[in-house]
Order: sequence, then structure tokens, then C-alpha cells
Amino acid sequence: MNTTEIVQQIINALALGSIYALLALGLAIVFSVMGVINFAHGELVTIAGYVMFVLTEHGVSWWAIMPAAVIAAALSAVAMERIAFRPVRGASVTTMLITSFAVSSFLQGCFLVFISPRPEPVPTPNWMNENLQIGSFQIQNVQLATAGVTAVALFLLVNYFKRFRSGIAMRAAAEDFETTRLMGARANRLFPAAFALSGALAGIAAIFWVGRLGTVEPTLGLDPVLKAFIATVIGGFGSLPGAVVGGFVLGGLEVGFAAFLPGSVLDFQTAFVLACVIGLFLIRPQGLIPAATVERA
Amino acid sequence: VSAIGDHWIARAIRGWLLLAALVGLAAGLIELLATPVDESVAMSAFIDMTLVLALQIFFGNSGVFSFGHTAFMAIGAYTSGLLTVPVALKLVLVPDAPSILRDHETGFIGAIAIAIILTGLVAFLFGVPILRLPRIAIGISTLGILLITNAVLLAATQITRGARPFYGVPADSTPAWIVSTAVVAILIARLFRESPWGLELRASREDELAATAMGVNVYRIRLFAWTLSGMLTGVGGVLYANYLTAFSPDQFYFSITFQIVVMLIIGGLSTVTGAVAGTILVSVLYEFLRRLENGFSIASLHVAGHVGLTQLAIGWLVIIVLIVRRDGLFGRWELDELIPRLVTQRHAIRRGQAMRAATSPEQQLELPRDA
Repeated sequence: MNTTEIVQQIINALALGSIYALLALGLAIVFSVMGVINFAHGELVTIAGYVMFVLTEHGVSWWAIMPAAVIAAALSAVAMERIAFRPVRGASVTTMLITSFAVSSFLQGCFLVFISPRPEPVPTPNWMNENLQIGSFQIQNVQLATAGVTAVALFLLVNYFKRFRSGIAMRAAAEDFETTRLMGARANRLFPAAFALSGALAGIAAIFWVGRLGTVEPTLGLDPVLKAFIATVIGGFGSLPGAVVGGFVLGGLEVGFAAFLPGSVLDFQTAFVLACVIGLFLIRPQGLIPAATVERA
Repeated sequence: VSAIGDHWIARAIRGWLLLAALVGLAAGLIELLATPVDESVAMSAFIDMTLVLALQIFFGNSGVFSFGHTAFMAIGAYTSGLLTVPVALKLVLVPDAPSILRDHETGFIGAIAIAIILTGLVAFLFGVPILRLPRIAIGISTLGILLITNAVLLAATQITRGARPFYGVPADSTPAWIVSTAVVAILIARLFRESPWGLELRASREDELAATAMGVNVYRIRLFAWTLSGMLTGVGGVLYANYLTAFSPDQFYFSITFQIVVMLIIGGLSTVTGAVAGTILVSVLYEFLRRLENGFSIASLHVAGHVGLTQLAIGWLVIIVLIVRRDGLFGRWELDELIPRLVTQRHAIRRGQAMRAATSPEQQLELPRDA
């Protein structure tokens, strides 16, 4: 394998990793603030996907579709918090995990009943699939856009977390929720804000995820949520910077194994990646960048 | 030491007899009265019961969630598939499998025995590193077990046929096998729950730090419960395989995981009674919804069904139960504890009223809730 190919693979890994980073960050925000391992995070991607499907059907421009998908996912996340998670607030992590399981099942049922069990097409705009030639490297526009948008989103998010009162409150809540409440932060504002943020990130990820697939179906959400899950575990569960790092590490592992494994064991790629993750877990149970949280029951 | 003051084995057996009698009665009635279709629904429910009870042993007593049980179920199912399919068919089904697997068959009982050993071994080996982790981390790691097992089942095509269905498994899971396994599972689950180890594990569920401080070796008991639970799940997987006779890896993934968890949650995960009742209730509900999905007719009016109704309704139901009655229908009490409790509770209320009537407000004592 020559240098060009290696650089090409690194580009692929960065593009894939940035989608995982967005998804993982969304999962981590909600977990660290509210203690919810949100298994229904993937359904937010599906919802954004269906919004894209409906709007493309009506010939809406992609410049309008993209923000619409993000807003739809954010609003759905807020609704999720209000309807399902707020009533079980303060329950054990396990109870909330099962609640999110149920939300996921409920939403998938809704997609099946009210939309369609079949995959629906989401035609991606041509610019996404065109290649950009830089020297001897081929970069798909969608890869470039993914990496660029992720960078911008992360930059904005870091600023929000550093400069804004609610952002600081959210980081504080991630470390110690009770104390943050005592400092005057209101749970009923903080939780919807966390969910909205997580939904918006899922919406951004959905644009690229669905854009790459070209279709949306009721079970679409499973894959993204699993990747996000694994990425957050790699980075340290509940750690926000960890989630981002974990996303890129996972992207790197997947692309690396796909590129370097011999064809005969390529089918085992997923198993290899997961074995690496479990191996890491045994050496560093807290993940790469451990979360500074007070232990939750 | 229980309030009743008798030995834990006696308590376990008493509770087992009560539940086993009810389950046996239900099975007998089904055998006598049900149509073949209804009977097959009931038999799947009894297989689920074994799986739910197995999950209860670990998840119910320890409070640690596990995705891994579906993996043990899959291992049980594929083990039995590979061991019970006749050699002649295996030459067609898995021609490239290692000859020790391809050229031998063990029969059903042998398959059960080997599945128990194998799932026990796998559970133990996964359990040793994982169960030392903090509680949330264990739950997440068990997700890894499920994902890895699924990936291996899909990739090891020479042995498992990959994504293609594994078929031709002899239908050795007779109603007698299925029901008696469920009854034995009730006994095992109840014995473990009442045993000193079960009590210690339940204590760790409520407060891990306090239990550890009282001298409970939480890791060791979790490992025991996990392995026991894994073995029983493996048996459930064997029954499943030899009942369906054909299956593929996607049957051992998230939808069955959710289904089994729902059964346990709705009934109440901390009791064996809850596991049994939840299985029956949710099975009936699933079947009802499945028929609704296919459409139904009232008089001459035909209502078209809709795929997805089951998921929608079950998801909604679980959310409601978790909001309104988080401990499930049976809460924290077994059936055999609940019956005398209801009687004494009525006594206590009456006593309380009498006392309140007889004493002045300053002298009034508040009765403890569990008196």
C-alpha cells in the first residue's frame, strides 16, 4: 500500500469518524446530563430522514431541507424528553434505558404504520457524490462536507459550552447534577435543552448518513445508535470530549480493518472492531477520556 | 431471616408449587381445549417463559441490565441445530463444517447437555472480565456480547450458514419438554432468589456500596447468577431451535431481546411470579396484536391491518407501565407472599383504625407501612 492510498484511507476515516462523532456526542450529552442511555437516538436520525424524504418528494431545495431535518430532529428529541423521559426522571439508569428501548419500538411502529415498511428513496443532490481532485487524492464532496460541517458544529458547540450560561450549566450538570440544581439551574429547562442539542446533532448526522444511503426505512436508526454507543464507550461513557474522540477512533478502526484485513476474514470486520473495543474496555474501563461524573446508581 | 421465619428452601418450594400448579393447569387446559394454532402460540409463550425466568435470575436479582442473554440463546440454538440435524442433511446444509461437527449427531438430550456446558462456559468467560466493571459499564459491555455474537454468526458461514436460514432441525421440542422445562426454570429461579446468595444479590441491587460493606462479595455472586442464567438461557435457545426447526441470525437480535425484557418488566422484574405472569400477559397481548396486524372482520366489515401495530402498542404500553407502575404488576412480592400479606394488611388497617379511635392524637403511633 503506497502513501497515496494511506492518505486516502485517512480521509475516509476522518469523514466516517465525524459522523460517528456527531452521533456519539448527542448520546453523551443526554447521558451525562440526565443519565439516560438513549437507545431511541437512532430514531431521531430516522425522523430527520423521513423529513428529507417528504421534502424532496415535494421538490424543496436542499438548502431548505437540511435545516428542516435538523430542526425536526431537535423538536422530536424535546418531545421525547417531555413525554417519555421526564415522567421517569430520577429512576435508575436501567429503567431509563428500557424506557428509551420502548420509545424506539414505539417510533419504529409509528413509521411502519403511518409511513411505510418499505425503504423510501431520498435522492441526494448531485454535488454530494461528485469528486474533488486534489493532486492525486480523490475526495467525495460529501466527505468534505461531512468533515467541514462537523468541524463547524463542534466549534460552535465548544463555544456554547464555554461562553453561554446554559452551556456552562449543562457541563456542570454533566459533572454533578444535584449541585448544579442547587446553584439555580432549572432541571425543566436544562433537560429539554440537552435533548434539543442532542437531536440537532442527530439531525446533522442524518443528512450525511441518509445522503450516503440514499434511502430511509423504519429500522434505519439501529445502525447509527449502535455506532454512537460504541464510540461513547471508547471515549469514556458520559464524557463529551471523549465521545468526539471515540467517534473518530471508531471510524479509524472500521476503515483500517476494512483496508488491511485479508479478504478471507473481512467478514469478521465487525467482530474485530468490537473485540478491540472490549480489549480497550478491559485496560481502561473508564474509556480514553474518562468522564468526571459523580457515580450514578 | 424472613418474617415468616421458615427455611429458605421451604419458602422456595412452596412458591414453586403454587406457580407450577398454575402453569401446569394452564398447560393442561391448552392441551385439552386449544386449537393447533393456539397451542403453537402457547408453546412459544412457554419457551419465552424459560428465557424470561433465566433473565430474571440475573437481571431481576442484580438490577444489572443484560443484552447478552440473546447471545446465549443464539449459542444454544445453533449448538442444538448443529448437533441434532441428521448427518445426511448436514452434508448438504453445512458441507464445509469441520468433520467433528459435520459427521456426528447427538440427539436432543445430548444437545441440551452440550448447550448447557457451552453457554455456561461462554457466559463464565465473558463474565469474569465484564462483571468487575461498574454497573452501567456491565450493561454496555453485554451489548458488545450481543453484537459480537451476531457478527460471528453472520460471518462464520461454514458452520452457521451465515445470513441464510439454518433449517431441517428436528422438531424435538414437544409440549411436554417445553412445559416441564418452564416448570424446572421456575424452581431454579425461585431457589436462587430465596437462597442466601440470591438475597445478597438483591441487597446489592438496592445498594451496592452498603451490601459490599456488609461483606457481600458482589462480583462473585453476580458471576454465579450470570453463569446460571446464561446456561438456562442456552436451554431456552435449544427449545426455540427445535421448536421452530429453522432460524437465522437476525432472529437473535434486538427484537427478541426487547420482547423478553418487556415480559419481565411488565410482570415485575424482582419476582419469579412477575416473570411468569408477565410472560403470559405479554404473550397474549402480542398474539392479539399480531392478529390485529393481519386485519380482522366484525360482521361484514373488514378492517385492514397494519404492520407495525405490535411495536407501536408494546412500546407505548411499556412507557406507561414504567411511568405508572415502575416495579411491574407484581411489584416486590411473590404470589405466595402476596396472599397472606393481603390478609394481614387488612388486619393491620383495621387495627390501626381501632387504635386511632381509642387514643388521643398525641399518643397516636404511626404504623410502619410494611407491618
